[in-house]
Amino acid sequence: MEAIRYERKELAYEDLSSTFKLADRDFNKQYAGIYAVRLLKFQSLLEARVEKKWGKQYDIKKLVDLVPNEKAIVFGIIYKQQELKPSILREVSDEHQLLPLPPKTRYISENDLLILEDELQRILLVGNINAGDFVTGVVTALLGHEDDSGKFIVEEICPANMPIMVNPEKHHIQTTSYIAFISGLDLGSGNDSLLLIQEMMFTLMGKAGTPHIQKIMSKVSRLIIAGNSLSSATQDRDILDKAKYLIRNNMAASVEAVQQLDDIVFQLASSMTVDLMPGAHDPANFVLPQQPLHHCLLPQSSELSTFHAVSNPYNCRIGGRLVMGNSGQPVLDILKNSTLEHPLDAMEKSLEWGHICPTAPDTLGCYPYIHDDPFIFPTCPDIYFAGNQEAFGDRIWKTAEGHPVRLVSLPRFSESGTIVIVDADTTECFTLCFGTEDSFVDH
Amino acid sequence: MSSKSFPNKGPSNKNGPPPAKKIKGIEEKKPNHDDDFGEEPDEAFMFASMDNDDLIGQGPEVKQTTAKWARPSPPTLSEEKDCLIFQQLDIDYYTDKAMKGMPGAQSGTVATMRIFGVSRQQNSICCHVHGFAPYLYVSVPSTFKPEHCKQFHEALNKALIADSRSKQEIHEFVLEVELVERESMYGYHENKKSPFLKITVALPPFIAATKRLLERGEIAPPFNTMSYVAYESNIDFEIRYMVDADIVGCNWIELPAGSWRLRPHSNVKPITRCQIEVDVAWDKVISHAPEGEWADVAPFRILSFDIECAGRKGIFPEADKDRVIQIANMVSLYGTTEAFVSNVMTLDTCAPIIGSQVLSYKLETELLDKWADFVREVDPDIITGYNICNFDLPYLLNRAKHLKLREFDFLGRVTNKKSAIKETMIQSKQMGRRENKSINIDGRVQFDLLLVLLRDYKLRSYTLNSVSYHFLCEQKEDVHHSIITELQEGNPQTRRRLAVYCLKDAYLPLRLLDKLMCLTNYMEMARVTGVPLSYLLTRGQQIKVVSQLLRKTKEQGLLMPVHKAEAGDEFEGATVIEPIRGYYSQPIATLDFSSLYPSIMMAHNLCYTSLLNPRDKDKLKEDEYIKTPAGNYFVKASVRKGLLPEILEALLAARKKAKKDLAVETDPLRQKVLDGRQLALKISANSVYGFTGAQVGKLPCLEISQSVTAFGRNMIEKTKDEVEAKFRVENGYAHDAKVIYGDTDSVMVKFGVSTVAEAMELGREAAAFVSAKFIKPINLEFEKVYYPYLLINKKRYAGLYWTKPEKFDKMDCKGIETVRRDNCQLVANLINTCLQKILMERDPDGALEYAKQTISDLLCNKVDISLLVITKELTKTDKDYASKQAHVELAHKMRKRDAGTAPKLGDRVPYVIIAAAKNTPAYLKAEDPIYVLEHSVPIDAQYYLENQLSKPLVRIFEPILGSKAESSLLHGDHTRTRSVVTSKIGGLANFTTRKSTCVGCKTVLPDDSAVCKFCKPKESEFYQREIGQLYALEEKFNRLWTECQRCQGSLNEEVLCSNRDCPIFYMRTKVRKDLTEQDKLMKRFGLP
Repeated sequence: MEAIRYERKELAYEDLSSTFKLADRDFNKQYAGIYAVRLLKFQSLLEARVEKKWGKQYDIKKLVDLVPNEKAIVFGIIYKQQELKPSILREVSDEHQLLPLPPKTRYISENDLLILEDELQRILLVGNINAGDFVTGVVTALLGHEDDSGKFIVEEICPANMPIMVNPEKHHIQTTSYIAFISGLDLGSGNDSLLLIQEMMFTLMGKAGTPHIQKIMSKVSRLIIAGNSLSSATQDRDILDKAKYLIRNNMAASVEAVQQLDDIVFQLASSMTVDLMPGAHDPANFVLPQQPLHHCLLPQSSELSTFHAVSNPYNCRIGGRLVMGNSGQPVLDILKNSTLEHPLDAMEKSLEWGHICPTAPDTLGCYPYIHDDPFIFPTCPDIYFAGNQEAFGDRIWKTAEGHPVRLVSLPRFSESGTIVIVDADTTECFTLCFGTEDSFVDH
Repeated sequence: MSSKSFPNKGPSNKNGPPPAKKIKGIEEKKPNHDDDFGEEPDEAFMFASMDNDDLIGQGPEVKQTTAKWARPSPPTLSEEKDCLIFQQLDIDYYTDKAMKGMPGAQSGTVATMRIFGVSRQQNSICCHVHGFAPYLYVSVPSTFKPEHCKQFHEALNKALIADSRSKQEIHEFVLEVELVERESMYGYHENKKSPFLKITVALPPFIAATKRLLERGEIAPPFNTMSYVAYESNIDFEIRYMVDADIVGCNWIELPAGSWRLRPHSNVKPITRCQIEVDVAWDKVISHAPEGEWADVAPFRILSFDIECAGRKGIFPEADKDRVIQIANMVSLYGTTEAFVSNVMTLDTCAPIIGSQVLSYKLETELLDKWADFVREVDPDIITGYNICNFDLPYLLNRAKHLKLREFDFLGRVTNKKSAIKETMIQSKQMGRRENKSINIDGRVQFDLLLVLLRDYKLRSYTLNSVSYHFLCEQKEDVHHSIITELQEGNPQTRRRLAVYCLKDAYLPLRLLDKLMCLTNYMEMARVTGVPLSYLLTRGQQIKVVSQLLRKTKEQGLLMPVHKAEAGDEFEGATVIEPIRGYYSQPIATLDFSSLYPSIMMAHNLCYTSLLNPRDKDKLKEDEYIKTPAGNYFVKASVRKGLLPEILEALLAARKKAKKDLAVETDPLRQKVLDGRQLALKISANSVYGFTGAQVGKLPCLEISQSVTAFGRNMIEKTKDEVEAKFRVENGYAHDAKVIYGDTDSVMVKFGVSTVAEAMELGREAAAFVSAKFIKPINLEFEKVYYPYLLINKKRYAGLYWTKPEKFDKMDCKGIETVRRDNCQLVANLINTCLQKILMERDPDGALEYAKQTISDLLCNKVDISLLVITKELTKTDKDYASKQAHVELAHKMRKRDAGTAPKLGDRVPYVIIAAAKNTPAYLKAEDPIYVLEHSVPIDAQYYLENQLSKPLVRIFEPILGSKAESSLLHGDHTRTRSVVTSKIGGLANFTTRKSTCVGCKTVLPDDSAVCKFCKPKESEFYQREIGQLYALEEKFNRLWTECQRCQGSLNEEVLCSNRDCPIFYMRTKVRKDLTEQDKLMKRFGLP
């Protein structure tokens, strides 16, 4: 057999995540600021959307100016009142802790109420609006009227949707070029997926696999590792509650896993460009945006120019395509707090709402910004991915202006043995599964 | 001025006393004393000032402004055809010229009853009831003959004229003197009646004067030499009327067609703001017993309100200096939960609030006047709020006086009658001594929720906030009083914020009233005991029993003597079988005597009327009387049936009926009423015994009360003996039974069986077996099984409570430190969790481990500071405290730091105990928790271990571990690791500069990097440890601050709340500080 030598093609790349980088953090701030900014920033977009949808026949009103039984358009932030929402107050006060509730996978019930809040007021929403479809933090426009009892009867909803301005750059890819995604390596989980990982590495690096696969791999120009490279077992999240005399140092698991990660990334980055995003279980901070993993954790990899520790969420331009995504927390939190079933549904809603993580800061930690909300989509991405989901899925969603967005939910590698390959030109995806008889490509 | 009895309500400073000047003279209605003192004031001298000019003025007319506010218009009424039906809520009396065509005195000044109520159509009604006059009885010698009456009448009248200093021209003091045959209810008198004079007088104050004159012999001969003993001279006139007219509190009144006259008629004008005002003769009024359709409750209007004042920094608001800036109002109808009126009146502009009307005024005088107009227009029957009686209402009245408002004070229903403040003292066993302000708002009932809660619930804290959290699981924002003025001086938005807060304070009392069913239960109590609703909050327990007694004595021709209060001997209380302490992992059956004391009184016919003087016992056959275990003699029911047993039988029968009705009732509102009633009946039955034992009460009778407890003691002992004799192996039972504890009315039996079902079966058998040995209606009931059971000491135990074999009902703890206020939260949490582990998880070892870990956390400074906060109320100024106290010293210290936010008189002072040099007295070791957080002041962990945790912990572990408990809890390995924070203040802190040390080995570093060169290879490991801390802190930061956003009900507004009762308050301050420090540490590792 004749050996074929493939050259990897580099695609033009631009990191657009500077809005997620925080050099100086100040926790003497409160969360009121980010909501105020969010409300303000959506204002003009909503005005445009509303005019398109309902014309000019109804007034846009502040909640305070509503006149009962007079139809009007209102803008505001949704607040969803959920009785099952975990409360730290309930947890710490003695009076109600006798029978602790079992932890829930979802915090929704039939009694959930939707409330709309603008700069000054709150109003209870009833009528043609379903609490299950919404989560706290979404900014939206509603058409309806206030009734005599002070509730707002919703008739129609107008979401913000994506910014009208789309990616200004035309993608210019002559030959087929791929971006590979992987998430949930879960190193240090105990149940060893090291062989799988080995196979995946060799395949990506072109050292294994059928010629067909090798050919495909040669076109992978970039690998994005979308969070949870370490398993939750390596992180002691109750560290604050542990008695000191019981835990001297059980950091061993994490230390070992981090070393493994450095080895893996080092090898991969020797072969291709690697972007490493932190996730919920990685040795990073908790609140979004999670800052890039520190170079002292990955001393070998950090030496390579092909390795980039990036933030979560992550925003970049690859070969002219706008690629955005996160390590999964925003999507999982939307699913926990709504009746949406599939990660892709949650991602779709997220785009429709124009916000990466509306539930932050309410049920999802984020930094207390006061003059900014960097999680509002600045432009419409071409590819939007979320890591660490139940299963792989992809779908095209179109913005109000008809611009197509490729949604990709990335499965956890440790469970599925699957990586996802996206064609940077067509945005079409396929998966590559390891651990079966032969690695196969699923178009 | 004292703030002793003013629990803190939070930032609106409702806890302190606004200056209240004493109103000269007295108000016509209630004597200025509580009935529990058993002393009646002599009001003859006060008569002159009765209709005090200060309180009478030209009251404004009701202004109708909003259709939503006013009551629905009354129907057109015909005196001939229509009968008037309404539920009465308040009864009082006033004095006026006799009305023509009415019974009773035809001339001169007479007392007229005034009944306020509401019809089913929501119309307010005032009914003037004429012709009922006050009276008393005096015993006279048998030589007094009917023909003496006329002469006596004249003599007494003269004596009263001479005695009176009234400027008013009253000639007819005595209306009638009648010789009657009656019997004193105190003691057995062989069922023989004796002669008494029933003396009817024109006005209530003459009763006391009559009694005094007669007892002193200040009456013309020959009557001056006779000895008179007064009876029933100390009965409130309203009660007297209600008893004689068969009216009970809050019942329905019917005025038949043709019996009433609608005002205005002839020369008689309406004198109230009620929609319907009528006159009726007292013998024409029909009073319906609250049964069947008459058990309903009318659609009463309930107004809840709250005020905010703009205080000056550090000074409690004073009505003559500090403005009232907002008043929030909510009005609802009885039986509905939503308020139909919700508004807030603000000084200066205020941005709109959805669901509430905002009424803004430029001037404070206008604000107050409009509020008074509002009250008159909305015409509430019941006024509620939180601490309104001791703060809001007095403040408003004093403020109005300061601003010289002429019309403000007319808040009641009597058109020309002003409301005024009076200081009263109330004392009862139930509540201790309390100072209260009382304000007359004639025709409206003040139902201050705080007073209800103080009476009925034992809580850690009575702030509106913690009460709401306790009962509604809802926190509310707590705006510090220093911020209120700032918000007011801001803009319409900041004032709106304040208004929302103020509205919530008006809304929560309504919610709580509804949730706790206070009104329903109190109305039922008024119905059962026959006293007006307002008495239940302003008077003690005794009046309720008196009202019931009088209703019985009236039927039987008995008279109630006037008791002079004197301290008597103590008598032996209830018995306690010495507990056999321990942790029982077998089921323990509990046998209870149902209604023990009432049933003893019924079974043995113990009563005033059956009390037999030992000298007289030989006049009776031996089977006609009993000797109680206390050595007292009582005749049997066959000779004379006792009054108290009759009352008790009626109460218990009524309770049975109410429970039966409750079981079949489907209407939720009526269900509530019936449940309230059965509860009221139970409480009333139990209060009868207390009445006989109250030494300073209206009519104590030691013979009864000590006999009751003596019987009780014997019964408990007998039950123990019977059970232990019967349930034995030799009688065919699997184990010997053992009574391990007994108290007042219950015994705990260990039958030795291992399942709950078996214990229940034996429990039932034992209850039936023992009951048969006692006289009916004494009944021993099997109620519950404790399994497992932790018996700590007398009145201290805990266990899982089972009433059915399948599943336990709850964890029941008695006498264990969980609610004591002077304990920190850590104690309650720890004890609760340990008990949970011991009882529910049956894991005593786990409990011990948990306790050890908590102790370790405490010593390692890992316990959240909110758990260590101790709170005490600042009740007196520094000078008044005899010995130095921690919270007083701290308040002093805080005033020096910032007078604006320092606690003031009446505030609750939260503090923690900090480490200090050896031998520093404890009172100097208290520090403000926030100050401690901000300055990293070290906590005195040892203090908490020794003074807070050790006793309760050792107590619950002693039954399990025995004498080892103390050593293994307080001196184990877990107590060896300690960490101490370095203080940023005091000592050498000012002279030292902190140098960075290596995160790994603590070596001092030359620069501000993270690790030293030796630790550099392990940098990743240290980084991972520290980022883990950062992660956890960030998560906590997020959860705490979003919790506060949710609680304050706004995402867009900054959290201002400084509720020091809330654990989150301290936690969020601490996490902020910890996180900032951790973040700074992470930076030393360099940028990522």
